[in-house]
Amino acid sequence: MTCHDVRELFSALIDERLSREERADVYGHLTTCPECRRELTALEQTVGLVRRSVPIRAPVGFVDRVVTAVRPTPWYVRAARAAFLPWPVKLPLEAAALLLVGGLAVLLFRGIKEEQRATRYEATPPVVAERRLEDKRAEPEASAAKSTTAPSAVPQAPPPMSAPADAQPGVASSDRSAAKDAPASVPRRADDAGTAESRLERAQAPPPAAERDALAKETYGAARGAPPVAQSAPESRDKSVTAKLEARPPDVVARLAAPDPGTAARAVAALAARLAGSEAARRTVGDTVLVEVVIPRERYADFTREVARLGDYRTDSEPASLPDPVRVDVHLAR
Amino acid sequence: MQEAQLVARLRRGDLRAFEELIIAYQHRVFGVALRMLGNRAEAEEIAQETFLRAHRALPEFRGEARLGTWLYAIASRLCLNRLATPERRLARADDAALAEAPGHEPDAATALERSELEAAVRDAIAALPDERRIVVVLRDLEGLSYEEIAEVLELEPGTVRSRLHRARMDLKAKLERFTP
Repeated sequence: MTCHDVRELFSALIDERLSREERADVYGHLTTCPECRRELTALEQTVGLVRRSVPIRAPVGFVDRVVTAVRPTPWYVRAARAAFLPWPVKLPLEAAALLLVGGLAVLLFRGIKEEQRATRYEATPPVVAERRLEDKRAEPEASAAKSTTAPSAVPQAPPPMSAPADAQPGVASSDRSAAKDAPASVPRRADDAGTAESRLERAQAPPPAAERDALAKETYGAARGAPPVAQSAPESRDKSVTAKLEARPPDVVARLAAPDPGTAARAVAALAARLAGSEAARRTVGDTVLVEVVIPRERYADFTREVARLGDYRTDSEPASLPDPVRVDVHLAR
Repeated sequence: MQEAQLVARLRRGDLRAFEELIIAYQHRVFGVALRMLGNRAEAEEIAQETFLRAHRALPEFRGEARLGTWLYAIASRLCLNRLATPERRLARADDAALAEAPGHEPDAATALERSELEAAVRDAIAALPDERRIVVVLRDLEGLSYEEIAEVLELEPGTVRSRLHRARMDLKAKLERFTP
């Protein structure tokens, strides 16, 4: 055996892992090789140094920590851990929840806006007219009790602004109830003005903005602003009823093409008076004459038939269900 | 006989028996982990994980191996796996961590532990390649037989013998100045 072969067996020799033959060969070599003897001695001392190393001890409390980790966790602790997850888990979850809530809020807000828009749209005259009609049906007795004059007892020559109010107290009462029970009635009224504006715009396409505003203000704002005719009403109650009626937008918007709008306007007013109605207002804007008349519902059909004889009469907007009386805006032009 | 009884109690889920197992093997398992990893916190983590895995695997423990061998096998595998991670490979030359790896509490024992010889032996062992270090630790520090080491590391006994010899020769070269 060479020195290299013998030294390869030193470790096994120290551990007494050599067979009898191997051990005999190694010892035979060692008797003749002092270098290998020194090498074996050095290796035995090295192994001794390692084996005499200070034993390592586990840290204090190690057993308790392991036992605690192994012990089944009570349900309430597990629930608490689930509720208070560590930040790396909780933060993404919370962010996702926040996004979800934010998205839902946006969707909900959009829904509300659409509902609000829908409400505004419903507040346009046709639907308002239906609602008033329903109100009237719901409170016929109350309306009758409040009325001082029967609808049929319209004065033969009533003042233009007070006659419709006197003729239809039920409308005024339903208006009051609507204003009382619906907070949206205030913005709705403002929207109604906007709707009236848009109607005027359609009827006088395309009028300048300032002219349109002036027309709308003169038509509806003047009525709200207690016109001289309304002030002539003897009773304050009639004044308020008239004001409410005048404040509402027209139920029907129509155009009448006639060779002489001024003459036609007078004819329309005369026709309204003949049909137990009245002329509420008349304004001239440029070449267009606006006549607002109030016609009892039962005579409205007669009105449309008669007015068509005066010229080319076309209805721009007309509700499915007419209120009583019917406010008709007739835009007369050549 | 005592171990058989302990195994039987462990398999029944006796928490007290498991506590006895930890008490009996905590220092050895922690020692292997600290010698292999050189960091007390990491060693405690690995030692704790060793016992937790043993607890989970107890129902399948057939008792063919000794409990100690079984625990050494789990701990060795965990240590070698941890050492094989890329980040751990980058942090291998962390001699400071090895230097602050006392086996005893500070104060009285610190003087002995920090002696030059002790530090040299510890550093020499720490400098060994992983596969040689674990063999030396199990053989010369934990006293396992070649067969037990082969079982723990799932190696042939001849491989254990050759790795142990290479490891000891490395240590001899590093500790030469302490041997006359």
